[in-house]
Amino acid sequence: MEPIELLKKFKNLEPDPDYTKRSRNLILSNGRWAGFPVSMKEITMGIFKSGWSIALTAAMLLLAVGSFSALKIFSPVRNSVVDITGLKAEAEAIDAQIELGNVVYTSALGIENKTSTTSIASPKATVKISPPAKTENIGQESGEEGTSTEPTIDSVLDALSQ
Amino acid sequence: MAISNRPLFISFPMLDGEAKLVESAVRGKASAFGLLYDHYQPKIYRFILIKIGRREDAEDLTHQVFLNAWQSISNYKDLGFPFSSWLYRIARNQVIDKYRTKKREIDIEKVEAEYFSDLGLNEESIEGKIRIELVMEAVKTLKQDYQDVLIMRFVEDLSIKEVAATIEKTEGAVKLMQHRAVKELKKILEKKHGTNRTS
Repeated sequence: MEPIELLKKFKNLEPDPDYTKRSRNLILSNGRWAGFPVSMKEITMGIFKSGWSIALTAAMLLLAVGSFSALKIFSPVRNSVVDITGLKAEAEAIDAQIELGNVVYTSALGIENKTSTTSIASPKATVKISPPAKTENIGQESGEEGTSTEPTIDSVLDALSQ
Repeated sequence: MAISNRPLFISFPMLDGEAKLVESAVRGKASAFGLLYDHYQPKIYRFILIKIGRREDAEDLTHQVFLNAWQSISNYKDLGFPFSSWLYRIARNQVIDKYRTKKREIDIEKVEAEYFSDLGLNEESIEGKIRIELVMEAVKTLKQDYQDVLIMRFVEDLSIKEVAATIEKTEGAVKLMQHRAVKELKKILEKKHGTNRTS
């Protein structure tokens, strides 16, 4: 059996003439060039396509430039440009008076605490400590913190915020 | 052996004035494309039919190939290859897409004899029909590239150069593929022939 010779027999394969005629007519009548004049169609499509693309590009550009400007205005990065040394000097010049009120003590130990908050105050700052208010329930809330003889950082911060 | 006597570099007969026809078709002249269709449609149809094996599918795909060609002919660039190379490339892609979207519906091993008889082969003897059926079955079991090379070389008589341009391989690669495809086809046919004799 010679495969090449047998393959050559496939040359006899022919499409059905009716199908060929139908397909040909369909392609040539419904194809790309049928219907509208080519130039008109192409020009119209071109105008629409290019118009849309230009509009889209402009919108994107506006959006990009706008968002960039907004970032510049509202960005926190802007604050980092502030003169640090000047700010430090200004801060040191402030005569801060911090009053600590309602520093809480743990009821469990019942030890009067003298706060160490003076250590966190600035050299020029004077700290006035109001008489300690012992509370019964703080110990329950603070849990383990209640075992410490010194007020917790949280409580000091709370007091500071008040 | 028939192939040894056959010159390998047969030039594919192009359509008379093909370059001008293509040029006119590119400019949108339907009658020019119609002539190209008349010349190449049977070849593309055969190419697809041997690969697909179903007349209806081959007709659909052939129609699609020429429709695509007509719709995108404005993008056609003459790179010195015949117009047929471009059409075969569209046809190949069409067949690949067909296989990709729809797995082969027919199990070749279970195909009945009537199926191939319906293909339109003018083979009178039963033995001849059986042989052609066997070849067709065997061709379909080959790799896609091997199928393409065998069909283009031995059914459509394309030159090595044209096949190379169509399947986008070097001429050396095409020669090698042809050699391997023929060898593999023989092997499959011998195996099938042996099976047919024993059964």
